[in-house]
Amino acid sequence: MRYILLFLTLLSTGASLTAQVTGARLQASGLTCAMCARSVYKNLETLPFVDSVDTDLEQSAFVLRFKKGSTIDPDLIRKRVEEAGFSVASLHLRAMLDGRALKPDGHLTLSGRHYHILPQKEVLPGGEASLLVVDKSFLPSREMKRYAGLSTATCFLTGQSGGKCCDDQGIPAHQRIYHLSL
Amino acid sequence: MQTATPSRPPGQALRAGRQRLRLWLASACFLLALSTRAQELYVFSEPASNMPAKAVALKATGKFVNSIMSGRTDHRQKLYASVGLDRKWMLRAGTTVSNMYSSPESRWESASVYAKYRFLSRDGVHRHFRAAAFLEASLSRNEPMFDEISLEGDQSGVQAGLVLTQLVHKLALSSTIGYTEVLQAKRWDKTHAAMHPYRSLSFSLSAGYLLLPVRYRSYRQTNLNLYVEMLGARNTDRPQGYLDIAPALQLIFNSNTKVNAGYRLALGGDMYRMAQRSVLLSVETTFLNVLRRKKA
Repeated sequence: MRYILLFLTLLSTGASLTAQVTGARLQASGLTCAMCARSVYKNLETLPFVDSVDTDLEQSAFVLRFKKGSTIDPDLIRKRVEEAGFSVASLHLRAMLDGRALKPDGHLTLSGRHYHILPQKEVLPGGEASLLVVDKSFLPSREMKRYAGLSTATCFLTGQSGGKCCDDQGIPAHQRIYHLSL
Repeated sequence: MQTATPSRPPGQALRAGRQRLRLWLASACFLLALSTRAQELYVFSEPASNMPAKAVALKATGKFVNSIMSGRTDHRQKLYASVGLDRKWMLRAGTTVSNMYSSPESRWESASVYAKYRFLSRDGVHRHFRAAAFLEASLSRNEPMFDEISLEGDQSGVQAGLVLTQLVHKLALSSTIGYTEVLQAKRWDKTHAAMHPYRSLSFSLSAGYLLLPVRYRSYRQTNLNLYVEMLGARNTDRPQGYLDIAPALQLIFNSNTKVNAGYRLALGGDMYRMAQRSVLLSVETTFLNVLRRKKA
């Protein structure tokens, strides 16, 4: 009975849900020309987990499709944009949440990386979801400050688990934690 | 209307009038550039933004002048290779061949290296502000003959400077300030030392305007950009200077090859220069991800 209760508790906090990121929509900032957009496009294509990239040149946006079963690393995506000479203005991950509802302030593991959902009023139903990465350097700094007010957790600023951050969710210390807004 | 004062010869008044007209034209071109879509792939100057990391670019340039020394059209060919080391550092090495100091025969004349470090980048969705520092060193076999200090093949020396580029919506403005020291052997030769200037402050203000395409649909669309740049310098060891305006057209093919055509015209100045105007033609191709390992 004790184990059943523990299982239900874990389920209710949404802890360590495992799901897949199937793709992403990335908007780059600072782009002013097709030549610049092409360098971002070509850099994104070199990522080992990227299957294909589509471009919306008018919006400076890139739609990425990921290889099934790969580890998806948002930091690598950001690095490739920065290497082209630009910044990430927004990164929306498209995730399949296996039909389970996602609770705010909960955690989940998506394609091999840990994510913390910021405490917000909405509850996301299961199924396909578009989740905005709100960590440092994934948004213009002014935008990021808006989200910083939603969480008192220090991992939002450090991007790392440890201390009092996320340790109650079974995530070991010094792990990269990304933060998501629903 | 004749506005010359009795103490001013008519020729001088005419020249002053032409200079005023050129300044008005320059201002008009600048206002045109400010009011339209921004581009910062300048033809006569470098923006603070760097080339993509792990990319290599090759550039061939031809410069043509009506030389006051030889009395004919002299030319200089330049070849540059640039490398984006990472998102902050780029390096460029170049060499030049010209007949500007050996007319009519062309000969190899100089080699140079240039490094740029982007130390500030504030990006927003429709804006960015970037700042970079650069250092250039050039070795030239030419003997100094003019008052204009330039490391593009004319003199041996070093230059250090700052570039600031601001893009807000449709406005891209870039400004460069550089300090150049000529390190020519004659500088330390007592009989020649006083004949030429050896230090100069240079500055530029550049604006770019995207003419075509009206809507971006594909990387294969040819881009047509118009630039207007103001280029100036002032020697610091003797009171001389110049101010040029340099309009340029740029075509970009396949989002990787730029073809530039520029015309540089003196608006004013009191320097003894090789020419008051010049034509610049260049082609540059960028090879992305050349220095990156292939994906697994």
